[in-house]
Amino acid sequence: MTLSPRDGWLFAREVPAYGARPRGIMGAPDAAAAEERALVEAAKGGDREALELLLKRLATPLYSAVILPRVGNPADAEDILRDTLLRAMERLTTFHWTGAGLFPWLRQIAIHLIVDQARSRQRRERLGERYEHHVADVMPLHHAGADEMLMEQQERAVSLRLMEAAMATLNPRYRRAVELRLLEERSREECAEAMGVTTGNFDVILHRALAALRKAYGVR
Amino acid sequence: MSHADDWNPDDGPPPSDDERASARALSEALDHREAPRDPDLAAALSVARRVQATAHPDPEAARKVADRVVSAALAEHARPAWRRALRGRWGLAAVAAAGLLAVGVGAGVSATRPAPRPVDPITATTAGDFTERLGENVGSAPAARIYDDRMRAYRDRLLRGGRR
Repeated sequence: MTLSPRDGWLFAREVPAYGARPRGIMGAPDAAAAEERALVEAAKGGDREALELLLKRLATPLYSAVILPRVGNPADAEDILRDTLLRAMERLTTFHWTGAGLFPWLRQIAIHLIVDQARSRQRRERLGERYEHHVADVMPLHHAGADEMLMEQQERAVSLRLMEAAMATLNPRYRRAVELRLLEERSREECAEAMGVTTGNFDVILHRALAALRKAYGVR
Repeated sequence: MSHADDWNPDDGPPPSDDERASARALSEALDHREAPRDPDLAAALSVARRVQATAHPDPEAARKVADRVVSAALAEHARPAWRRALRGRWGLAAVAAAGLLAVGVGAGVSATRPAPRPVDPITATTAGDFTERLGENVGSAPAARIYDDRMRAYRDRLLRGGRR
């Protein structure tokens, strides 16, 4: 799903509710939740195939909708995903089943690791990044057995809200620079022309805009 | 036209040459995959990538990465716990520290042992003259005589250049 201003990304609010898998794909939601619970119990009991099935199902939304939008750099995001999965496998026996399924638990591990990484990078490089760990206000309502695409859309809506909130703090010209270059994916020259500046000056505006956005974005 | 002349004051204070260079580097990095080394530039780029990943997800690429990472993580999880503990930067540091410790202890032990000294051939052949077992029926001989006999044998050996 690629969003653009024409699609109304800035006001993307209508996200399918969690829990219900599309009819004809995985059956009724209760059956899907029961299936996930059975897989989790089997994995806790040492069933490697069940573990693999669970992780393969949940890793893609975890990577693309939770980790990558919070980390940015694909290589760092891949490391976080690997560490999340390893930690989850080490601690799977401590997981207690709830109606939300395994995904929120994995998500929580991933966000802990992302915040830890941001803190350690900040200590190392003295960056002015903000990190928060109060995820309750941006935590979607999860249900066990939810379809991966729905999970991804729900998580992506959270990421969009975080991005919008950060963008709203920028001054209008800085925000326009980010929209043109990163959301509309226009070339430097087109962006500069649209803003009525030279390409060199556009680079500076974007550079300043990203520095301001970095402070506002934080890690949540 | 100078840089200052074409700068719009609405966009903030005029940039320095250093800022222009950083901005140019960031703009170029946006079109490439490799991460810049400068931490501030890398951080700004990662913010840009976050915006892009949020607005323009690539599901196919994400699925490939996720499948690869799941396989690698399962394989790693199947290894013994001590080998898993040695992964990553801290694992490498632990291995390096253990290696240095082993080399240091080994070097210390060998430094405390005296090195073998070269022995000249005469000394080597006469070394046992005063410590070899006494022959038969000498138990009643005076110690001074035994000593004299041995001293004589030793002196003769020296004069013959070590030959018996």
